[in-house]
Amino acid sequence: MTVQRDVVVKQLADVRPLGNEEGLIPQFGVLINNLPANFWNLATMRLLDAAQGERRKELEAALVDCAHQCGYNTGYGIVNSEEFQSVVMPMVTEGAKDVLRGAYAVFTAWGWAKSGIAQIKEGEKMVIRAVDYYEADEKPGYHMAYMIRGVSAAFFDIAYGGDYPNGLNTFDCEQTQGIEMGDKFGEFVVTKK
Amino acid sequence: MSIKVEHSFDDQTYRHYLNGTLTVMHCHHYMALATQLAEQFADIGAPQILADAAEDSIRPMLDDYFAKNGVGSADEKLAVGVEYYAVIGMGKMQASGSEAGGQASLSASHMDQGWEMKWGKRDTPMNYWTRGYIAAVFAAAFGKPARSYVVTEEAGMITGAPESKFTIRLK
Amino acid sequence: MAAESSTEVLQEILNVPGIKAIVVVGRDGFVIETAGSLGTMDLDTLGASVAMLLNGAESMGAEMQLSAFNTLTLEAANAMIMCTPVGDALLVILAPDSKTLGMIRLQIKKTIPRLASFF
Repeated sequence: MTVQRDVVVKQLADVRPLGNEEGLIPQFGVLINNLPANFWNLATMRLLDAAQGERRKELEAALVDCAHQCGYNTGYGIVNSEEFQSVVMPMVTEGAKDVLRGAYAVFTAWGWAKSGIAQIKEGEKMVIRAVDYYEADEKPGYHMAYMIRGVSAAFFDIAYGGDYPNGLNTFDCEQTQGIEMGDKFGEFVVTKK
Repeated sequence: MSIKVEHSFDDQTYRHYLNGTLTVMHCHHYMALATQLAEQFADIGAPQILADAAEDSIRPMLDDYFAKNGVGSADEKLAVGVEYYAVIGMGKMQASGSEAGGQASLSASHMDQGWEMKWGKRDTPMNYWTRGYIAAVFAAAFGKPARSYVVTEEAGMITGAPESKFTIRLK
Repeated sequence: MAAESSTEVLQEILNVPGIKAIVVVGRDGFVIETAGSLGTMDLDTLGASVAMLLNGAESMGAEMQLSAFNTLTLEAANAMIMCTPVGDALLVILAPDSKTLGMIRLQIKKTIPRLASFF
């Protein structure tokens, strides 16, 4: 037995928080927002198109870092949430590997990317494939899935980077394929920094 | 007035839709870091890029809501804009004005409170995203094209002000 | 020379006469990659079913004190499905019948080591 992603996805897919009386969504130890996905794509693309040379490289690193920190903090909150503990943890039989499988099922259910683990070498390397993700909605002529890159590195940090919050930035993630570039799927490779 | 809120998701892609608009959840860390990134890249105009991207992504969502729900008057449209801000978790907004411009304020703010949770207070306002949001609300309410309104953040909760305050002026 | 991709290896397997489609499924039921003609099949449901099958086979194997299984073959009147572990995933071969089963087995044996480096 291992984590069965369809069980997780089906149970969690309709969880959609709304703003409270203050217009805020406090959940998983963070404040959540629920913006049009197009905002993130437009902002990313326009920023990249405005940056040249060395500034563009710095910008790309900063875009990944935004998602890396977000994924690390929110990911930790999600893994420790009641939802994850009650839906995913009872199926965990293979330790961190299974927690990661559960994390990608949640990542899928909540609409970040329909993605999962293609390969995992515990504590060393992980390959993620995504067959649908909002970051592929624009076709700018370059890989643009900075969010998935950052979050994937963060998930591996949580699993193998040491105790929270000291494991941040243990791992890095590169995008090797992208639907936005005409590939069949997005592929993301996480390795040690 | 209370706006209609309908969530749906595609069971093939697991994409989520709010009143038909594809939306995605992110946390205050992501938003605060994106804002900080914009300031670090001020040399390429990043704060305004962030505001414009907000305006351009919010406007279709509002126009679609108005059309589907028969929202006709400018006042009603402003009210919808204010409520939508809360629905998407960005905070509690008040707004009023005319075609020439107006005022908006926030008594709760995802952006300011999120930034404060992450890094504490600061000396200057930084709510670029909401500037774009307000520009979209006013342009949608008064039937103007994008970039018709200049939105200035006069005071920010992040600096210790009790409310964030914005002025809106028709260009 | 560019490194070989999993897509290329799957295409090579697909060249064996009689194979209609190939699906690589993670142990959690995630459909990692497909090749060939799957028609209108719901891949998520297929992936979930394969994962359940794998879990069932493993439970049975453990109960009967068998070592890890090499191949699981399902034969129906109009289809043959063969499941083989590949790395941490499962390679699922779909064929309309078992006429070329020998060739399929041979091809899988040859390509599994190459595929295992991807999954």
